[in-house]
Amino acid sequence: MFDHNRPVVTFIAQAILTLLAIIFALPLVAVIGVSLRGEGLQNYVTVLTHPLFPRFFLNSAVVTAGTIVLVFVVTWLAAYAFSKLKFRGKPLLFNMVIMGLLLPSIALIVPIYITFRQLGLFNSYLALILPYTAFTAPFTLLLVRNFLDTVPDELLDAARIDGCSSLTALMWIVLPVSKAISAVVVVWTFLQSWNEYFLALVFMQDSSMRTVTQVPQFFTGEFSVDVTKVFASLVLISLPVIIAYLFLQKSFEQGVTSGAIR
Amino acid sequence: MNNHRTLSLRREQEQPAQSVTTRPQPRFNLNYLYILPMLSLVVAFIYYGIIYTADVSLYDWNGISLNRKFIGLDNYQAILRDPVFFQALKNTFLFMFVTILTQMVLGLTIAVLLRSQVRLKSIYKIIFFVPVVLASAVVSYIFRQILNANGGELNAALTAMGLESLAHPWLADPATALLALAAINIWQWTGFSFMMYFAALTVIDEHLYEAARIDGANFWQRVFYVTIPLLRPTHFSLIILGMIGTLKTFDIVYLTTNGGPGRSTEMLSTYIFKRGILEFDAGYSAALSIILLLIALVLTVVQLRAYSDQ
Repeated sequence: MFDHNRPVVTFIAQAILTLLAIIFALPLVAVIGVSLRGEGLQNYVTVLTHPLFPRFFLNSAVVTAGTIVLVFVVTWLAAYAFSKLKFRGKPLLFNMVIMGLLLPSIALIVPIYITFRQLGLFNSYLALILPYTAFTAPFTLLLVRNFLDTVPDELLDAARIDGCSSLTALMWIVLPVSKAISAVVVVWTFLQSWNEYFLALVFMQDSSMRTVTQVPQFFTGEFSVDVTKVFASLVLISLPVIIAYLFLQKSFEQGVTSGAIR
Repeated sequence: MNNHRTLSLRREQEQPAQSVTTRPQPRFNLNYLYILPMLSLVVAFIYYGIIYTADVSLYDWNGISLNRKFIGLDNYQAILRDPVFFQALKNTFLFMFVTILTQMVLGLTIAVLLRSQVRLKSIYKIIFFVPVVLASAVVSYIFRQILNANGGELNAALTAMGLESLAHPWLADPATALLALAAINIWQWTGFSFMMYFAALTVIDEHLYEAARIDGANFWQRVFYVTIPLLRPTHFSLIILGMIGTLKTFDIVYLTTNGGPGRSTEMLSTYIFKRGILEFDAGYSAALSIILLLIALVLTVVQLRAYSDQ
């Protein structure tokens, strides 16, 4: 839409973008700055050597890995069936699942809280893995189903004539041509579970079971006025998502933008 | 599962093939097994959750004791007399309006500018998008510090520039707290709107601009009469996602102002949490939840209808 032969237009665009980028970058610069105040890098050492910090990281890693595996399996099985297999009531069942996308999970906290307390699931990894999967999978289903609808059925016909079962066809024919969308599913689920705060706050009350999003709160209690160490912890717990983002930019952007309604 | 009967790929009926039709049809379609895990999770957490919540909302119950008293719609009637509920409702909608509108305008501006011949495009993209991947718990702590009245970076910067008259207890003053929270949300989510618009812009045919240019349309006319109308699906997506996102907003409120000062930043989400989990008023909290679900449903249906009508 731009007149590309006019350098003054490009100059103005560059100036506006730079100004906006500086405004957006300032808080990020501030985090690094605050985290290095006082004792400098020693702040990071203090956080990393805190006896519970590795534990928080491990908890998040376990919950995130568990959620990714479960979301991946559940999503692929369902998306494959909704796109390529036949059964009655398909549109109804599909819409039932997709409705889950539109409901704010916070409105369902009362039953989950009560049921999990009765089942003794507080302070267990499952208390997070199960709801994370239930609240993430409707979105990844939509994503993968839309993708599979673009995969020609002929690809599967060949497999059928060879006598493959439908599960074999999914694993050996469909999955290998779906690496890009699979990456989006993994990255999206990683982001959702690593960054989740509310359910972790409610269900992980034992300090040894806390996840990384509870870290700042925990360290605020631990180091009280020494905000520099809290900020070092903010940087540390954000590193995995930032590194993942920089390496997998395309998948992230695809994952985030495919939430659009078409 | 290595059973030919489980196989019923789409083309089966059109070209009945050897191995499938020679066997009798099973009474139960085994294809349902594929959607069973997904369906179980969604039913257990979402549908059972809705029914359970609706049920609990009819009781006076703390969520723990074995005795609960059926009180019909009393919780709902109490909500309609509850000034905190209306304050939370007002805050939620104000926050929704300000954040969605600002994020859309900023996101579109950035996306359009990045379609020009500027340099360093990938650097800009990273800067605008990094906040989106950060945990909102992290973002909350960043801004709690930056917006702090004493020793916060924003006030320090204003003072350093000789503008100490503008220094302000941003999160501690009821007049600015909600807008400060909106600003935090805008900082975190503008990159999302930008990325949605940027992706949509790349698929707009350049020939349309060429045609408009030949018709004598200047840059602004091309933006307002070609680009913005063509991005309609993206506008709608961002509005729906923004509305649902606002109804879910919890972390940044809970971790910065916790609904205060007073109730000036109380949201429906934080109020549900406080009544249900902190004050053990499960019945009342459940009734609030049902109202929140209804709001989400109505907003979505109205949006989808408006979208398909046009």
